[in-house]
Amino acid sequence: MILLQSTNCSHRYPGQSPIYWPDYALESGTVLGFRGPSGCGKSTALHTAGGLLPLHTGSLQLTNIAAVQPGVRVPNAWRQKGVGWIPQRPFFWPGFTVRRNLELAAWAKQTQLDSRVWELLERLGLAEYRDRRADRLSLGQQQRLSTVRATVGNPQVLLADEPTASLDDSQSLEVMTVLRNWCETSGGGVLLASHDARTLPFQTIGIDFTKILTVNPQQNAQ
Amino acid sequence: MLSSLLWGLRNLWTRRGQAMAQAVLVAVGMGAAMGVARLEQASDKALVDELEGVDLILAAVGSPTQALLASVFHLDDPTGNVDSAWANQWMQHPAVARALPLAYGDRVSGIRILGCTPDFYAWKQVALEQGRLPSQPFEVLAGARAAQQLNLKIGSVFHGSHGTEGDAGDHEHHPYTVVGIGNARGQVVDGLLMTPLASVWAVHEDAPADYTAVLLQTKSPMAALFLPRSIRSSGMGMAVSPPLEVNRLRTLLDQGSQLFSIMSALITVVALVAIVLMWWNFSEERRAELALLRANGATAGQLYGFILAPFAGVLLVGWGIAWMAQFVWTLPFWPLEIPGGQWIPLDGYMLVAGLLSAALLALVPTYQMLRTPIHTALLDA
Repeated sequence: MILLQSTNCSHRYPGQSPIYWPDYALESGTVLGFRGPSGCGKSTALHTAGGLLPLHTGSLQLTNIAAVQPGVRVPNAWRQKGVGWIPQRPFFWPGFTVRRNLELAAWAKQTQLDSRVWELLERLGLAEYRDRRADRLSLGQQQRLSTVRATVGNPQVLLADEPTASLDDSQSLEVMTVLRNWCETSGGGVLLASHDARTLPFQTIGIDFTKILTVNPQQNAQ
Repeated sequence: MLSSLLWGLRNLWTRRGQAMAQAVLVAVGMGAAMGVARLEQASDKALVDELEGVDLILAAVGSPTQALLASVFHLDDPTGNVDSAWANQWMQHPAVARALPLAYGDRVSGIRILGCTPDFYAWKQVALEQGRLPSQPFEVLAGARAAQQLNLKIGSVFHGSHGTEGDAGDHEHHPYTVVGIGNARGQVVDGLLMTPLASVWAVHEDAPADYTAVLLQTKSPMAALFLPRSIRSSGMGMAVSPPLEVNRLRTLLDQGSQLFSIMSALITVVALVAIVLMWWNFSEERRAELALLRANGATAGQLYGFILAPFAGVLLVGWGIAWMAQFVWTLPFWPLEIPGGQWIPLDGYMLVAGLLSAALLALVPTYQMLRTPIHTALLDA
């Protein structure tokens, strides 16, 4: 089942030419990688998929949630129910415990924490730290917790922006394994923006962002 | 909204040290304003209560304000003594309804011994806590506050001393005996040691038996207008009109309380600015965390509640400290006492104004946060 489909999408930063990226369709249970060096537009495509940047052209369809086009406001359900974010550097609310940080994410998404979140926390070996301050965990533990937090509200798609950039090999392996397992068990999909070669084996499919287009590819075809 | 406020308070708790310091600053500002308002209220009441039934004050020539402060509020030294024979003429004047002659004795640990007639007790409506009213020289009725301060009981014996504060020059040959202790009335008499005029004259036997002042009640308002000129023209003293002096005093007090109110307003404004800066910096420091909350779908309303709660919390705690301080304790501003447990309208106004300011000020960092692009905040994290 297709969870997220991007067709002829582009974004235009103020005062710049629009950036187009290849069409893609994220299937249930898969990890779709946006590949390419830093600054090639992977994050722009990812943030557009998360409803944080407006479309300049094209359309984005998040199954069971909404379809957005240029000028159409992304509904709040897109962010609250459709996607979950894993930022490049894990960060948490200072002074809050692991539990509080998860509850805070649930509050933002206007949902409740369900058993799946606690099970994932258990599976990732973080259950014993639930009453410890999240910002005092090790980097590896924080990145795992960041992944757990992204699953709050059981979103369809996880958006991971360079999740392994600051991790060593074993931590990188651990995080990517968690993401792939989550896809397989939950039926969700992961959209991964990464230039890290260590993530390649975990990507079901990859899209090359090396050749960034500043001219509408559809116009080129005509 | 409730859950947003709850999350805001949880966030505040993580910065409780800073928040408490700000709440104390708010409390100082608000507390000063509440205190000034109570003091004004109490002084207005005191002026009315203490001057009830006093239309003129007969005193030695000098500063009228000093005469008023000395003879009614016992806050200043008297302008001098008036000849009793001369004063008696005016006390028996047909236009005078009641006359209360006073003779100032010495002090005991700063508390004044006041020579007076039995009419004085009736005028002040002195009620007895214990004992009886003095009837013989050197018998004393101790006001409630004076008795407490000097630890006097029925039968206690003490000596007066020369001077104002010091205990030098004791009149050891003229011991006073406490025969009565007055009920606390929240008035000037609470802080006095009252004795018959004869006691004061006997202690200072080398001096003439003069009065220090005479409080006069006239039979008509007109009499209060024309008598002062006649008294002054006799050349042996003056008649002070309390309403005139009270107006002068009020002007002075108003200037003082205005200055104090401005200072308290400034302190409160400084506290508010400090709170805004704290949460402005906070939304800068936490721009990535706040951006993630927005990326997760937190609405502007949710985030406003999240920011508002700490503002409102700090102001509420500050107001609470200020109010509780005045509610719990009686504030002594002798000769005024501001009893605790009082609610005045200003308390409510300050609470409402505090919460409204919180609601408005919270808009500043909320606006700042909402205008920060989420994607750049996340990328910069």
